[in-house]
Amino acid sequence: MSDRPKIHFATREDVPAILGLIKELAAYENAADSVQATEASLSLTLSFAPSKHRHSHSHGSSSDTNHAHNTKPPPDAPFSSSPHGQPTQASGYAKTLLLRLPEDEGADVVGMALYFHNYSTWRAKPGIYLEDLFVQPKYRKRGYGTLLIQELAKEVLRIDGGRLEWSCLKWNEPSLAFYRKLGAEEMTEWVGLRVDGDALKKLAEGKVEAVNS
Amino acid sequence: MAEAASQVGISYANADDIPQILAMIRELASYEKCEHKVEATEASLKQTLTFASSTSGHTQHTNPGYAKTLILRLPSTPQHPGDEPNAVAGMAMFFNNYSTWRSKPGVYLEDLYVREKYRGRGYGKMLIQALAQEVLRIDGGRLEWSCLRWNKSSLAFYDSLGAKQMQDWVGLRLEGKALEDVAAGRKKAVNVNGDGDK
Repeated sequence: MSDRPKIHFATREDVPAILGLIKELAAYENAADSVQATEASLSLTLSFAPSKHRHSHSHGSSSDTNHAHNTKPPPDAPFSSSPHGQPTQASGYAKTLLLRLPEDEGADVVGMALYFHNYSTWRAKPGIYLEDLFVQPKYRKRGYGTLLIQELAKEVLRIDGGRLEWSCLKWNEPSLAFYRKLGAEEMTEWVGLRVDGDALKKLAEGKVEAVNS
Repeated sequence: MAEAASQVGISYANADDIPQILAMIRELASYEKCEHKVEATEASLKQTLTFASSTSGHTQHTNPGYAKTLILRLPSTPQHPGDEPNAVAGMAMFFNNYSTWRSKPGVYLEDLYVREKYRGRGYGKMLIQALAQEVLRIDGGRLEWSCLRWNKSSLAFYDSLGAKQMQDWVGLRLEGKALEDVAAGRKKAVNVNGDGDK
C-alpha cells in the first residue's frame, strides 16, 4: 500500500461519523434499538480536539504536533485533560480516536475507539478504559483494530498511566481470541455491578433497605 | 454544607484530606493483604486526584485530575462512645465513565472503604447512596463498580441495594510489559500480509 491509514482525535466536525459508527456497532451487538445518542447529545458530552489545529498523524509517526487548546472549564466541569496538555478541550466525559482509510482509498472514517480515563488507587495512576472499539466489517482483517488499540496503549504510556482496560461480551469468541493474541489478561475473577433506571433513583432517594453494610 | 450535629457528613475531599486518603488506601490494601502493592504517595495523590476547593464550602473542583473522593466524617456530636467528633470514617473514590449509546456520563466507584471500627453502622450504604445522587446530579445514567466473584457477602449487600450483576461481560486488561509490547507494535493479532501468526 502506498499510503497508510491515519488515526486522530475526533473534532466536532466528526460527530456525524461517530454517530454512524455507534449505530453500526449497536447493530453488530444486536442492540440497534438501544441507541439514544444524537449528534446534539454527543456534541455536548464528548471531548474534542480543536477543529482549527487538527493534525492527523500517520500510523508509525512518533511526533505529535497537536497543541493544547487552553479553554477554561466551566465550574465543576468533568476533568478529562491530562496535566501534560492534550489536544482536547476539558469539557466532555470521553474522547474518540478515529481511523481513516489511506488517502488513495478516500480517507473515510471507518473505525473508532471511544474511551475515558480511569484510575488505579494503589498506584495513584490514571489509565484508559476503552468503552467502544469498532471497525466497519468491510475493512476488517487489515489490522485496524490493532492499530487503534496500539494508539491507546501509547496514550496510556504518554500520560504516565498504568493500564488499558475494556470489557467484552462472553459470547464474542472472535473478539476474545483477538484480545488474547494482543496479550490482554481476562479478569475472570471479577463481576461488574450496575445500578441504573428506577433502582438508581430509589437508591439516591434513600428508599433502599440494605441487608447489612 | 450544613449538617445537623448528630449526622455524619459526606463531602468531596479537598487537598487537606490527602493524608487521610493515603492512610485509608493503605488500610484497605492491608485488609486485602496487598499493602506492599501501594505505590501511592501524598505527592502522587495530590497530582492525580481532583479536589474541591479548600477555602469555600462549595463543591467546585478547581484542579484537573483523574478521580474524585467522597469523605465520610463522623458527626460533630458523637453518637457512639469513643467516637471523635468529625473523625474521618470512610471514603469512596470514583471517576466518571460514559455510556455511548445514551451519550450519558455515569459514576464508576473504584474504591469504597469504611474504617473497621465504624463498620455495621450503614456508612458504606450512605457513601453509595451519595454516589447515586452524584450520578443524577450530572444527568448521568449509571453507577457502576466491580466485585470479586467469590465475595458472596458483598454481592448480597449490593443485590439488596438494587444492583445487577453484569454476568455476560468479562474485563480485559493490558498493563506492564504486555501494554508496552502493544504500544511498541510488537503484538500483531492479524498479519496483514496473510502469513501465519508467529
